[in-house]
Amino acid sequence: MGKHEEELARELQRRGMSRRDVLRIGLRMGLGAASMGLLLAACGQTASEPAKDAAADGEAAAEPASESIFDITAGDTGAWPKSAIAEPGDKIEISVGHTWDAVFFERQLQFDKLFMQRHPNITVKAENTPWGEYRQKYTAAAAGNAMPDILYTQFSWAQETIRSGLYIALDDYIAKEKDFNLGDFTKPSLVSYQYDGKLWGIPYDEGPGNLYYNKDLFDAAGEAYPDDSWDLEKLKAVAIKMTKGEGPDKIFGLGELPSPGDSLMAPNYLFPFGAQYLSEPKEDECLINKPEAVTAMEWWEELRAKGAVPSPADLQNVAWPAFQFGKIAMTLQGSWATPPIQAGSKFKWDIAKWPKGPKVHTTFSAGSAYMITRDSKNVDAAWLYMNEYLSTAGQTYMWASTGRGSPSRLSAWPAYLGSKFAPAGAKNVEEAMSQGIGTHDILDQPTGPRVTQAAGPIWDLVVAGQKSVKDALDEIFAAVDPIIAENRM
Amino acid sequence: MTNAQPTPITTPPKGKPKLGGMARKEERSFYLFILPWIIGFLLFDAGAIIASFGISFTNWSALSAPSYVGTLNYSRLIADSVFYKAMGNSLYYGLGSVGLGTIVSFLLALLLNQNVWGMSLFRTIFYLPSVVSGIAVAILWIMILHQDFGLINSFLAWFGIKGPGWLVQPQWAMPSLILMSLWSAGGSMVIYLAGLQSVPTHLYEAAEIDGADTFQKFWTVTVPMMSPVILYNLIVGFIASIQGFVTVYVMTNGGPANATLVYGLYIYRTAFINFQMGYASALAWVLLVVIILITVVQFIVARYWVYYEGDLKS
Amino acid sequence: MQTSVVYPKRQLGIRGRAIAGKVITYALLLLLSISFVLPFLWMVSTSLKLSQDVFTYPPSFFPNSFEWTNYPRGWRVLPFNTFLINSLIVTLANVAGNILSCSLVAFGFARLNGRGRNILFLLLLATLMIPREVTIIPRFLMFSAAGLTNTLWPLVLPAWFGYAFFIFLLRQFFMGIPLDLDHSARIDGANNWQILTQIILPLSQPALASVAIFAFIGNWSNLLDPLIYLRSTELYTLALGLNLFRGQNFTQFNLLMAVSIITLIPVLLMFFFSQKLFVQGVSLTGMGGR
Repeated sequence: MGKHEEELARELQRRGMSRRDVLRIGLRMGLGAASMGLLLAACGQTASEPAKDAAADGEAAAEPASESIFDITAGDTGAWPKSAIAEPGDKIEISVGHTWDAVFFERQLQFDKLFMQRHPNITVKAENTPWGEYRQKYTAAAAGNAMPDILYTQFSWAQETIRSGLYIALDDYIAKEKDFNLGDFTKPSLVSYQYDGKLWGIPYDEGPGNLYYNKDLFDAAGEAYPDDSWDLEKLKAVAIKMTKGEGPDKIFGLGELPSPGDSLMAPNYLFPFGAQYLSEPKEDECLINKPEAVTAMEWWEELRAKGAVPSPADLQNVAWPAFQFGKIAMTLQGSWATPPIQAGSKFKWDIAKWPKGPKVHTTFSAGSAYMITRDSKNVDAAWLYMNEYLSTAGQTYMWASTGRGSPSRLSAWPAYLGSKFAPAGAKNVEEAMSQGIGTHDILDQPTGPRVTQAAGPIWDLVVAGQKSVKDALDEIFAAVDPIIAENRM
Repeated sequence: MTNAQPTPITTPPKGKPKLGGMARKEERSFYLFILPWIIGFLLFDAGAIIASFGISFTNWSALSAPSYVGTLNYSRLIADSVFYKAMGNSLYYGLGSVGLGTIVSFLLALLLNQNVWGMSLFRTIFYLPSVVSGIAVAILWIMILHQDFGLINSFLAWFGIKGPGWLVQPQWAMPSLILMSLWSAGGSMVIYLAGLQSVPTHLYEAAEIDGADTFQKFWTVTVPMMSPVILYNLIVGFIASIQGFVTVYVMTNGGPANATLVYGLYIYRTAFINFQMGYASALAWVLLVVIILITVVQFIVARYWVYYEGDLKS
Repeated sequence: MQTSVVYPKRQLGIRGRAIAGKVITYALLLLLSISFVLPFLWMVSTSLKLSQDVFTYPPSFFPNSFEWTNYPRGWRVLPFNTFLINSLIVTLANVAGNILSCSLVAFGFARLNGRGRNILFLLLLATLMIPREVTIIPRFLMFSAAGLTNTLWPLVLPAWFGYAFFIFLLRQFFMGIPLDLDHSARIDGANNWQILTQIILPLSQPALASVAIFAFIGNWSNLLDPLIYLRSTELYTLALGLNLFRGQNFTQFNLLMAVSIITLIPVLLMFFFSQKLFVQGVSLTGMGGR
C-alpha cells in the first residue's frame, strides 16, 4: 500500500502537480485517511523541497532531471516485437503526423527517442498539429502529395480518405509478422480502417461509451451506484429522481440525450429498443422514422420534459465534457473522457457500463488509427515504426502506462487497469469491449458528416420545444434519404 | 481651408484634373508605385483565385484527382436550402455586427480621444478583447449566456423571470453572437482614433469662432472629416464579418437549427469536413460576387456622404 | 449688479461643467473598462488555478490558491523560446514589409491617376473577398512547387508586396490630406517619392501606427498560415504552439492561459507605447492643414 502511494505521488509531481493537486486526486480516488497520510508523506519525500511548493515561488526547475512530466523509462516493458522487415542499410528519415495535446506530445518524443535508439538508422520526425486544424493541414498536404510517412486518422474521416487512395494497404506487412496477432485488436476497432477486403490502418485506441457517474451526488441523494444490474428503465428513473434544484444550483440526472446530429447515437439509444438510425453497415437506408425508432426517441425525450437533462451545454465546445463541472449525476461519454475528467473534476466519480435495453445490450465504440501514406518514401521503415508503436509494448508505453487508456489491443489493457491512473470502474470499459457490448455500428461511411449536418438542425427544433419528435424524424428521413442514396450504388 | 464646416456638398474638393501632357507621366508613376502589389498579386493571389474558380467546375475532394462537372455545383447551389440560410445568416450577422459595431467603436473612440490622464491604459484595456485568447472570450460569454448556469439567467431568476436559452433558442442565438461581437470593437476603434487624431484642430477652432456648439462641431467637422475612415470600416468590417466564422465555430458551431450557420462556416464544412472542394469553391465564388456587388454599391453611395480633402477627381 | 452676480456664476459653471465632464468621462471609462477587461481577468485567474478549479459552477473568479508555477511549467511544455524567436522574425518582417509596400501602393492609389485605377482597386479589394478556405490549397500547392514549404518564407514574403486591408486603410488616410500640399511641393521641385516621404507619411503617423499594430497583432496571432506551411517543430510560431495545448480530448486550460498571457505581453506593450504616435499625429496634421 505504502509503495503505491509513494509511486503515485512521485508520478503526479512529475506531471507538474503540486501537493494540493496530489491531495485532491487522492481524495477523488477515495483513499482513506491512512493512505492519504502516506500519500502526502510520499510527496514530502519525493519533492525536492516540499516547502518550496507551498511558497509558490515559481522555482519549478528544482529537479533538473525531471524536466519532463513523464519518466522516459517508465512503462517500457522492453518486449518490442522482432520484425520480419529488414533494418534500413543507410540513414533515413521518416515523418509522423500526430495531433497530441502539448503536454502529451512529450511522451511521443520519448517514444521516438527510444525507438531511434533501437533503430540507429531511422530518424523519426514527429509533426504535431492542433486538433482543431488538423484536417485543414493534412488535406492541403494530401493535395500537394506532401503527407508525412505516417498519419494519424480518426474513424470519422477514415473511409473517405482510404477510398481516395491516401494510404497503403498493410495486409502484406501484417502477413509477414508472426507476432502481429490481428486477433488481439478489439473487434470494433478495425472496422473503420477496412475497405475492399484490406486493412489500411492500425488502430491505436478504441473506446466504448460508458456511464460516468458523480459519486458525490449519488451519495448525497442516497442512491446506489449504477452497476451491471441496471437497465435503461432504471437509468431513466434514477436520472429523474436525482434531478433537483434551480438555476446555478440545479443538479441534472443525465448529461445528454440522443440527437440524430450525433454519428454515435444509434448503439446507445436506438439499438436497445430494436430501432436503428441508418441500416448498418452499408448505411444505405434511413430507418429513423420507423415506429420503433419514434417510440424510442419519444421515450428518451421524456427526460427532457422532466428537466432531467441540461440544455445543450454550449460549453462543451470549449471545455468537454460538461460532467466535470459537478452538476450532472450521470453522463454517456467515450472512454477517452477519462483523462479530462480526471484532471478537471473536483468530486469523486467512477465508470459503469452503459445499461442494457429491453432488446439488446450495446454501446457505441469508436477510435483512431495510424496509416502509412501513399507519399511515404520509406514504407519499410514506416512499417517498422508502426509495428512497434502499435504493438502491445508500444500501446503499454504510450497509452496504458500514462493513464490515457482505451488501447486497441486487448493485451495492453491489463497494463492500463493496473496503472495508478485507472479508476476503479475502468474494468467496465474493458469488459464492454471484450464482452461484445461495444459496437462500431456508428455512422462512419463518407456520407456520415453530411447526414448529421442535415439531421442535427432539424432535431434542434425538438430540443427547443418547437417540433414534435415524430414530425422531426419524418423530416430527417426526407433530408437524409437523398444523401445516402449514393451508398446504394 | 478656411471653411469651418466642410461638408461634402458645400465644399468642393480641391483637386484639379492634371494637364493632358502630364497625364502619361503620372500614369507611369501610378503603375510604378502600385507595382509591388501587382507583382504580389500575380505571384501569390491570382493563381490561387483563378484556380478556385476552375475548381468550382469540378468534383474534387482535394484528396484525389478532380473531375470536370460543368456548372453542376452552381445548379446544386440554387437548389440548396442551406445555401440560402447561410447567406441570410451572414447578411444578418454582417449588418448587425457592422452596424452596431460602427456606432459602438466610434463612440468608444470619441470617449478615448479625450485628453485625460491614463488614456493609453484605457485604450489598451478597450483593445484587450480583440487580442486576448478567443477561448477566453468564448468561455466568458458562455458563462454569461448559458441557459441553466449563466449569469444573465441567474440574474433574471431573482425576479422570477425564466430567461431563454440565449445560444440554444434559434431566435436568440444570432442576436447573442452579434452582441458578443461588440466586445471586439477595439480593432475599428483604433482606426477611428487614428482618424480623430488626423482631424486638423484648426477646423474645430474655426467652428468655435463661428459659434458652433459641441454637437454642431461633431456633425460639421468630425463626421465629414472622418467619413473616409468610416467608409473603410464599413467596407472592411462587412467583408470580414460576412466571411468570418471563428467565433461562431467555437460558440455554437452553426446551431441551433442552423440559426448561426454563417456562410464561412458552411464553406469550411463543405471543404474540410465533407471534402467537397468543388462545391465549396462554387459557394465561395457566389459569395465573392455578392460582396463585390455590395462593395460597389457602398462606393457609389459613398460619393454622396464621404468627403475626401485630397480627392483627385472633382 | 446683475452682471457681477452672473459673471462669476458663469465662470464657475464652465469650470464646473468641465469638472463634471471629466467625472462623467472617468466614470464611463471605468465602468466600460471593467466589462472589457473581464476576459483578460478570467485568463489571469485561470492561469493561476489548479486544473480542477478551472471550471466550477457558479464560476469563481478568484483562484483558491495562486499557482505561479503554471507559468514556467507551461512555457517548458514545448520549446516556446524557439517559437518566440520565430514569431518575432515573422512578425517584425511583416510589420516592416507591410509599412513599406503598403505606403507605396496606397500612395499610388490615393495620389496618382492612371487608366484602370478603379478596376485595379476593386481587384485589390477582391483579394480580401474570396474566402480563404478555397484558396488555401492552391496557394499551398504554389509554395510547395517553389520548394518553400516548411520554411518561414511563405509567412514573410507576401508582406513585402502589399496587403489589401492596409493599402485600403492608408489610401483612405492619404486621401484626407489636402492636395494643395502636393501642388506646392511640386512647384518647389519635389518628386512623388519626396512628396510621399516628406509630406504624406509624416502626416499619416496615426494611420501608419494603426497598420503597424494590426500587422503586428495579425501576424503574432496568425494560426492558419504557420499551420499549413510549417512541419518542423523548430519552425513553429507562438500561435501554433499555443494551439497545441488544445487537444482532441484534453486541454490544460491553466497552462494554456498562462502561456497565452506571456505571449500577450509583447502585444500589449506594443499597443501601449504606440499610443505616443497617435498623439504626435495631431500636431503635425494640425500644421499640415494650415
